[in-house]
Amino acid sequence: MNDEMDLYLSRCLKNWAARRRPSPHGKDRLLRAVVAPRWKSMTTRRLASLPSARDFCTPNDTIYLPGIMMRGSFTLSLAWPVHIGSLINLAQ
Amino acid sequence: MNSGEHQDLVLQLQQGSLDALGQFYDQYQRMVYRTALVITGDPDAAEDLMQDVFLRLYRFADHIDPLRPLEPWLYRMTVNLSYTWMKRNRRWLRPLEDLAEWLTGGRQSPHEVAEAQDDWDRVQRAVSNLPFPQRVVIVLYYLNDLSLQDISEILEVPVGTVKSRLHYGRQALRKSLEGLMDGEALPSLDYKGS
Repeated sequence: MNDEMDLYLSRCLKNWAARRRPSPHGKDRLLRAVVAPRWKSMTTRRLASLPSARDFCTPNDTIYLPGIMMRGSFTLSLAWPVHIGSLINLAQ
Repeated sequence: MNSGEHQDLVLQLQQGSLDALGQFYDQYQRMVYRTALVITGDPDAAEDLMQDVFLRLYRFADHIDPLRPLEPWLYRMTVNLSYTWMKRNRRWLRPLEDLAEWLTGGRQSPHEVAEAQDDWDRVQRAVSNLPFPQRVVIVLYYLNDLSLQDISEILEVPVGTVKSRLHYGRQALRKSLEGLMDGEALPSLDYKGS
């Protein structure tokens, strides 16, 4: 009985696992994660759920990043204009 | 890959070679992916865990002994990271899944029904319901064809403990799969190991 069950379990698990394959981009993602650790947090599921930056801006657009300057009791709120194209260059 | 090539590759990895990491990835990715996949039952998690295993291989390459095979280290890391993943995710994921199933009245698409009815899937789900220590032994033994001695070294527990987990795991599986094996042909074997 054990032999039959062993064979059965082994075949079922191997066949089940064989139906799924890792992404063909896994190696590329791994090597990116090594050189740029921020990619590590971009897991498959999170990447799939993120809207693409291309959906809402182009490299020619400018965005305004909020910033605060503090000196003593004096605080100044600022909005820094940043060119998307230069951000992309920075990320690469 | 012979042992000389393996040693060279580990030494290259220790010097930070990305090419060596890529070669190890090519060689072991399916082994790591399938182990994580059957332990977690979640293809996305298996993919993320696989990446984490190889990242750690790169980061901790200095701790790898070039004279020893790499598989036990990879298995141990896969099991440990899968355990961490299960602990972190299952705590809140399972109730959410139960709630979603309850809200949808447990409705499944024809494809899901067909898949849920096949033996492979039922066995995988039965394995997923085992306690983690038994599940890991069952996966390493049946999926990866490792010996009790190998499993004992990977998990760093006595062989007797491995035997006992295998015994109770088998018993639980037999109970949950009762009737499935009787009078049914075994599924065809189309698995090719890594």
